[in-house]
Amino acid sequence: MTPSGSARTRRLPRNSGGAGGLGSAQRLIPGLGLVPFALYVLIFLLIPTVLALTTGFFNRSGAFTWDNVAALVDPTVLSTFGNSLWISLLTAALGALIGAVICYALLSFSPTSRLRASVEAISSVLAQFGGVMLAFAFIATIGVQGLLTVLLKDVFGFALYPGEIWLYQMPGLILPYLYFQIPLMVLTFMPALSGLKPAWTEANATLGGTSWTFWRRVGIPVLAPAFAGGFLLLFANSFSAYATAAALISQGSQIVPLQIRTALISETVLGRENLAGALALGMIVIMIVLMLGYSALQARTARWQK
Amino acid sequence: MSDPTPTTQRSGVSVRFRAVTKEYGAQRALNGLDLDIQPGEFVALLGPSGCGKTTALRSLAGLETVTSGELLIDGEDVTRVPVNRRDLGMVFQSYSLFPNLNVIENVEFGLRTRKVPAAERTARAQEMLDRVGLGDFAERFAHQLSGGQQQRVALARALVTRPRVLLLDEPLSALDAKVRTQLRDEIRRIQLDLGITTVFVTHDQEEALAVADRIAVMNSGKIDQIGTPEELYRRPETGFVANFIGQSTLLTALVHEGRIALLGREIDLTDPLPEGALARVRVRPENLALESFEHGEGEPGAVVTTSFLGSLRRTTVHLDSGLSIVVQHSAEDTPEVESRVRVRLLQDVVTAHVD
Repeated sequence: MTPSGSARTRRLPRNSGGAGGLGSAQRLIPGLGLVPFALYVLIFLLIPTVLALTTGFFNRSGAFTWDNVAALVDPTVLSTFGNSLWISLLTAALGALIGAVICYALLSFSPTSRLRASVEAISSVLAQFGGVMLAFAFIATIGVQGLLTVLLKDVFGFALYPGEIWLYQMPGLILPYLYFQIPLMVLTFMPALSGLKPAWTEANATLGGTSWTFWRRVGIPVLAPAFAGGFLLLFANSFSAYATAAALISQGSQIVPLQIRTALISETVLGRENLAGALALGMIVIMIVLMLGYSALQARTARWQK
Repeated sequence: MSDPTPTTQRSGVSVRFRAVTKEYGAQRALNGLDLDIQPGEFVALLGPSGCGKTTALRSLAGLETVTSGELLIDGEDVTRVPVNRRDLGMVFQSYSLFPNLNVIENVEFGLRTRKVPAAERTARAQEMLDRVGLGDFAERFAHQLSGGQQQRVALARALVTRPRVLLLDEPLSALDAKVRTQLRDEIRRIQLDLGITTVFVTHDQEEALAVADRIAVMNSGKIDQIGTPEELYRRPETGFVANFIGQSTLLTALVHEGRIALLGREIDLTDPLPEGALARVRVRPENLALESFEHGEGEPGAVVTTSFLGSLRRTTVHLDSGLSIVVQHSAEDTPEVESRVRVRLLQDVVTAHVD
């Protein structure tokens, strides 16, 4: 290398170092744009979480106590957690499966086809359509005096509610929850499914594989992380859902978010104060366990993922 | 370079397309395609995009159902045999390695579907990886390999099952120039080693000329001409083939007493043409010479562009007759743009067509 060439090489790190110094200052200014959001998250998410968690360990007078946390094993609280868990697991599992099947069906249409674009657009709206509006939609359609309930009874003589009115009880949450769970799965899973290359199925076939060989050895393993991620999102979505249940469930606080409300507005539940914080802690623990399971799966697949 | 080993050597089988037609709605991708491929032969299907070459290959693979006609492999009619029972190896343009399986698992894939015992499977996969020069990459995943390496693995995966025919669907198109040439030559070496009948689809004439025993130039779903690279290059039978293979300039001249006047010379014809007919002749750059304007022979013109190609140079000359012509000459000669030159034909005999 010529002397001028080596001089140029030697200068390079200093130049790039200088540019780097300038770059970090330059990066800082646009970074300031994040400040309002960071403050928002701090004030309305981090601080309340810490408060919720810590209040669980103190009584009203501020003294440390295990009472609230101990109440988590109270039969009533345990059954509430049990309810929250099964409704969330069930609607997440059904939502993930049905959503995945819809994605698979959509795959046979081109990404620019009107049907696929419409389903994706509708999904993005419906995935956010929870809460009181959704509860009202169900009450108006299949409530005791709902349009469909009356129609079925008058025209076909079919009673939607021969016995109990299940819509206003725990099982009644399944249909409304699926209403937003399935579209959410379609939104999150479609990109992963579209990422399956047609050449993989063709390579499988030319190598003597059947459709089942492909799914067992390639399709399912490749999609598993995205499917598990979607399932986890659906679980969290349903586990933390409050308004839909609050508007539908007529009596009692059968799921944890409702129990937290009760604990917040009535200070004498089970004779313990600050139970809401302990309940929130319980929810966070469950989410952490699931997230750990998910990251274990991620770690298994990380070796072949970019 | 590895020697052919008896364990994987297999004499090739014949492949036959008989009046194969493939329609997509109103569009005809294959239009009564007839093609006979000899056992162990390496045939390139060459043509512009949309000529039907990929459809022909995919039909042979069973990835497309033909509308009519017959496909025969080793004399057996496979037209209705599903793709996974045709016993063919295929390499795709897009890297088609399974991302969740490492290199050796990818190569073993076809052996697993054939229920080959584990020990034999691994041994055969490893042997094939050695053959493509990736013996030390068995544990890697696709994303840890370059494009060229991925295609080598895909080649090993396609060959390890000892398929009857190897199908290559533009396997080099996504690679950069240097890797492309390297892998091209390696594919040919391995194909000769194994003696496997191979069908290679490409739009790159240089690729086809370099590796194929015979080239089938396709146009509108049919074969325009099939022949050895030399035959196609030296004696193109149609204007399409002449235009597609190599660079050439179309010249026209009136036939007079069995000869034609080209670039200031009287030239003989290989095949006689009627008196007074307008003969069309394709002249290749290497059959022309650039001469000095003052002292040389040939038709005068002015230099438009000149490009350096290593050992030689190609210069475009705008002839005074109004035609532009490309001349290939030694890189030592460096004509200046806009300078006056003469272009001379080096051939004494040409093949002319009347359209």
